[in-house]
Amino acid sequence: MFSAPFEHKKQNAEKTAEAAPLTFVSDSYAVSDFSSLLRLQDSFDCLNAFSQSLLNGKTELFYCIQILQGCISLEINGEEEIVTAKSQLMISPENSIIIREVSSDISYFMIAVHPKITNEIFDDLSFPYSNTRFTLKHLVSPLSEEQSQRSLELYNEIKHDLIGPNYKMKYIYLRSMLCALFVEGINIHDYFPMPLQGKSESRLYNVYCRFITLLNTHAAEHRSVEYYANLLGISSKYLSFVCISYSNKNASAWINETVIQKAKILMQIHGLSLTETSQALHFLTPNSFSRYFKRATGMTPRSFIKSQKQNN
Amino acid sequence: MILTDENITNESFNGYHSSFEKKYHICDNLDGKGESTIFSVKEFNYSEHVYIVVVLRGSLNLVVGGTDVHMKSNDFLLVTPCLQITIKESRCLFFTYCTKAYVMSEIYKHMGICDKNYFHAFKFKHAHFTPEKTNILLDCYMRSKKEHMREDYPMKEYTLRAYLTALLAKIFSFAQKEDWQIHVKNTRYYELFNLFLDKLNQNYKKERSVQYYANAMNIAPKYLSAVICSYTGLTASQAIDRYVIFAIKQSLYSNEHNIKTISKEFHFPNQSFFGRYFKRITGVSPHDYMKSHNLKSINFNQDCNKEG
Repeated sequence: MFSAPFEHKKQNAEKTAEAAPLTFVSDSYAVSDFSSLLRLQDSFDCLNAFSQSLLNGKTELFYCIQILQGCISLEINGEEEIVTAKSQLMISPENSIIIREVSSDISYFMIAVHPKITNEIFDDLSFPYSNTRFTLKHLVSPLSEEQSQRSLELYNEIKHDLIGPNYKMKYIYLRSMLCALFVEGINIHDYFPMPLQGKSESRLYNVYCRFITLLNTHAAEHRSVEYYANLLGISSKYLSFVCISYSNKNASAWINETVIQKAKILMQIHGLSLTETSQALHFLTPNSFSRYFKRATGMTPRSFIKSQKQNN
Repeated sequence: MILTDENITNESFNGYHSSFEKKYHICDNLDGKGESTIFSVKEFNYSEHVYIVVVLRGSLNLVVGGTDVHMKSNDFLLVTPCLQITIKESRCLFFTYCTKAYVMSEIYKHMGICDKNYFHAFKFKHAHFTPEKTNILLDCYMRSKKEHMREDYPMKEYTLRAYLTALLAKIFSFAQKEDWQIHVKNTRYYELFNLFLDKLNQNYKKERSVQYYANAMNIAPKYLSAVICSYTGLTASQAIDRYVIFAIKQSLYSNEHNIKTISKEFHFPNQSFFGRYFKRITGVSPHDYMKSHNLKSINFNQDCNKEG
């Protein structure tokens, strides 16, 4: 749909930094090649140079896209989303993203971050979130003039530093700048964690977070509420109660949503067949998988795949 | 003019000054009417802050502890807690960060360079940088300054901390061995001073008498005082007290804010003795100190994390 040529800015950003011999203070911060951890892409001169390659098939990265001018129409997990000028889109890992259309006067920037960095940032911000807490979320919000300006400045600083020469604590510097950008994003999307006062409330929240974390790791294999309740050491009724207090969805709705999302990603992005997907998700037969899918989404897996192919 | 722990007033500076929650102070005279500004003698007596000073142009004369430090253009200075800084007549363009020590410890921990239980104190580092490096540090400072000037929002502290981390990352990457300036006047004194600091760091919880440390080092108490005075401008007992108070304050911040446990941990005979000691040196009781510093965690999900 777009065979837009790569614009030179993107190529510069993707060039890996000179790998000079470096001494580091901590092994986990020893990075000489940033290309797998952080990638940038932008076009500020309104040329239609939006390339999808950063997004295609890469579901393990965290994306932040800010549109300064023009608009983009995408499909996230099968749902259509339109992002217009002066707004920002944040997409967590494990979401399938397909760009449908890009307007010709597009001016934007995009950052793709590896979960390694986002996990460290979440730790630093003392979020009770693990990366997976964000898993089922993508957020679009409009920006005020100052917010847009600040994010743009941070982006430019990150870009300037990423392109520049390697130095001892480059990773830590980039991570701090990304942290500032992320805090800005939290303000923009108004996505504060919702702690309540008192110890009993925070126990609820604690259970909720652990459930979401476990869900993401085990959803491929286990779909029963009792299983997760057992793992957490609570009754299934309590687990559902916790889920509803924080999200208006009970535990089985959460489980179904996660499983379906994984199924969509497997079929759409990794191109697995029905049988393969049903095996990967530990369904007894492909038939039971089809029934499950139809009950949860309203269409059979086959028609889902067909509709995706048509749109492409 | 002595600026104590509790108050820093704008009148003493003809420049920009801002402080966030008493944890992050910044100060500069970059918007000055002329290129540089003369100001008169000032003392800084914060016992639990880490100072970072960068001189862009001109020269800055200070006395750090017991040492005269003369900073020229593009110089950088880092001062650890417990040292007294006096600024003498100077003419320069500068900016400074002044951050609480426990905030710095957290930052170092996230950067992977921490010695968590070792409180660095009574030391300072002075380096010459090139103008390019100083300009990069100036960019970092301007970013922090803009953030300070912004109105408050719930996660402002995290952004300030991120910018400070970024600044430190640049500083540690810039500093080559050749850049560091050595201020050792007398190597024998310096050895003894370092030995004293080691012993103090190992034993501050149990031993607070000058006699003990002098004995442990096999020198006379008067000699020990002379050594310490040449580097810090304080007598031995003053230095020990200052360090102990600094350590107590760090514990107050990290330790569940319980006066009883701290008085036990520091081997005070009883809580009343601890309170009197604290008040004698700082001027406020431990309880008032905690109240005035609003010792609630910024980590609003702390309960959650504890249980998890």
